[in-house]
Amino acid sequence: MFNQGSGPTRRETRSRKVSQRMAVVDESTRQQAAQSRLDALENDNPDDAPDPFGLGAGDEDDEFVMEESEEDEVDVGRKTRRRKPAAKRRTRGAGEGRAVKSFQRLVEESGMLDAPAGDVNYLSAAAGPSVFYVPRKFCSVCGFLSSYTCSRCGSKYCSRKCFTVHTETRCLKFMA
Amino acid sequence: MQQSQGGHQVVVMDNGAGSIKLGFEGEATPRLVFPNCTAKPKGERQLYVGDALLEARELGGMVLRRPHDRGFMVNYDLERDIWQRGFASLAAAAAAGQLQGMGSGPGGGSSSSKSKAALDCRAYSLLLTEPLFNFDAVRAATEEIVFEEFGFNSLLAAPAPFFSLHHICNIPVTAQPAPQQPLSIPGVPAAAGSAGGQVIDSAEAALATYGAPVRALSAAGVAALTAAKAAGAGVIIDAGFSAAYAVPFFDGQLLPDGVRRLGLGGKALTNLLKETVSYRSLNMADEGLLMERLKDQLCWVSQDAVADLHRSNPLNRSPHRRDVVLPDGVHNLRGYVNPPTAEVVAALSPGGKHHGIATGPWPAKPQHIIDVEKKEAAERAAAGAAEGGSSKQRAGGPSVSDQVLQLNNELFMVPEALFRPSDIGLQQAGMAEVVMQAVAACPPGLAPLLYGQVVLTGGCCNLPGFAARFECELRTMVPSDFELVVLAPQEPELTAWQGASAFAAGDNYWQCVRTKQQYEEQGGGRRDR
Ligand SMILES: [Zn+2]
Ligand SMILES: [Zn+2]
Repeated sequence: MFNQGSGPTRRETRSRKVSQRMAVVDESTRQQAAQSRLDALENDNPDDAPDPFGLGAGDEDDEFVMEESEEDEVDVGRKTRRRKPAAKRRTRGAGEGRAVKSFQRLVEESGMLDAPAGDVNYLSAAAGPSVFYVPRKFCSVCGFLSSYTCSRCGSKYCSRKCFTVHTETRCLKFMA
Repeated sequence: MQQSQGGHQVVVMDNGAGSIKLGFEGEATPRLVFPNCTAKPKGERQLYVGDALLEARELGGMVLRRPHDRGFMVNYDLERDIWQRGFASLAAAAAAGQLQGMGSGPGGGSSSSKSKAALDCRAYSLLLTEPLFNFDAVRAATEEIVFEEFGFNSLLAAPAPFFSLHHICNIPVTAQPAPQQPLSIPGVPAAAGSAGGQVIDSAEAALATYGAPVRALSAAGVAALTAAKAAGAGVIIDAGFSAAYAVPFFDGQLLPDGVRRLGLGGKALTNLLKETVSYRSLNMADEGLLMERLKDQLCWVSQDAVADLHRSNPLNRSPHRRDVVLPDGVHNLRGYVNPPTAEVVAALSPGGKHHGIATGPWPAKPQHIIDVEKKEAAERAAAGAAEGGSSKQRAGGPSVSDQVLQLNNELFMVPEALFRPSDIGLQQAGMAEVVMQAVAACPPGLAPLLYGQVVLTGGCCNLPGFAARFECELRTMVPSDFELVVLAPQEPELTAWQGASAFAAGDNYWQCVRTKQQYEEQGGGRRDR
């Protein structure tokens, strides 16, 4: 687990599924993967497993539990976030709990998705893309500037050394 | 009416998604600042709620629960539990302050109440910050909790930038012209006092609580700032835990049409750091609190990311490298940073290869760990002498089992995402350009006034180098016929609370609140503003 270069096990499990389902890694798939990665930046914990408590000390045990919990949650982004509040609520005393709404549901129920053009709300305030800068390219393995792109998955790499690491352990796993 | 402690009438709470700032009206700083979450060590029954986390000895392996998602309160019961504990601690702090004669309220020392008593909410009004564009459903639930469960006698809830604005508009222009002043060093505020020495005492006091211009002002800059202040205009940057907002204001009023949001904040940066190091070196997936602390202590904003990337290669000669000794759960409970190698010290020293470059802070190794290591080394040496020398153990130095996390370009490439979100695949403009978009969404005639007072608030602005990078980048974007003035408060995470505290002590406060009686007569949820 603490070896140089090995990523979290649960991520590998998840990525493997993505790659199996989609043999052809087209642009839209890459964008989807990038989006779920951005969504994950708002998570509180590495995974939203129903019971993160309990098995504490052993690293091996933890990894195993994570893998299991990942089995029935293929779509990582929003689905799990919805599930988490339900699990939370059960831990509170019966009857006293108020409903925990996901952010996504708050947005849906607020009606702002159907708001007329010109309405000022959370979504309309989102900053647009940059007109000053183009995205830069950094090596997905070491973080330095890169000029090469993996033809299979679109990840960036900077050198033969990093490309070897990439193809051997990370290609088609959608980790930056 | 019930008796409140120390003559205070308003509990002022900046309920940030990352941390809660809690105190009383009219005071300069909050009594308590604590994480807005609960934390549970894996495999243990113990649960840290809110401010209890301040006393937690270890940070490792915690499972976190936060009431907020993307800046909005979604778990009301969890938030109530955190508030409840926070209010009790506030009451205890107030009682302790009174005993020591520190109570600063007008009627201080009226009753000597017991220190462990819970806050008697019926004796107080509550001033609460909420996110911009808060949901009606969240507001209704908030009122229900505030009035029905805590029983506050009245409530004022308004967006945090509203109170920052109040703070900003009540501070006079203080900066003196100093056209030759170079760009300030990141993290070191360019106090106007050092430029000319003509600054009067009260202005210096204002600077201490408010903040200095990032670049010392030219005569034209002072004129622009004066005009902006006279018009009650400017742009507030609120770079917080869940997002970074640019909020333009004019005539002392927020301009909602011009608000622009970048969907990155402190939480995303912590997770990005966690993700990056987990991918490159050690799996830190479960170490959210530890990584947050490392981010706060070690991350910084580069003034030239590509140049710093080149400097950070190779790793063993990088001036940016920091070796973090991870908590071992025995003596080293919170982790610390190893001293720089001799090679790096030489490169950073005057005349060295990297002399004069901006680099992140270098926190010292805690003394108690040095003591423990010395003791252990002595014991090992003694044991080794007795056994005739064990091959496994080295005398002196850190123990063999230490887990060391090597951080290098992540320390500035993670915060870099705030300025170039497209680097991590987020197709939004960075911090500086968001201001351009916000100003562009306002009436064109306002632009010169808005650029005349851009104020940096929110915890992300604490990143060393943030203010200088922001100012420099925005300056290249703003048309050259506009003067740009960027102000950086010294405690940007407290600006909203400070404004709220002053607002609650002001005459207008009681005309703005919604009383418990009104709430009960009109029913929850509806509010007129
Ligand atoms: Zn590389
Ligand atoms: Zn690939």
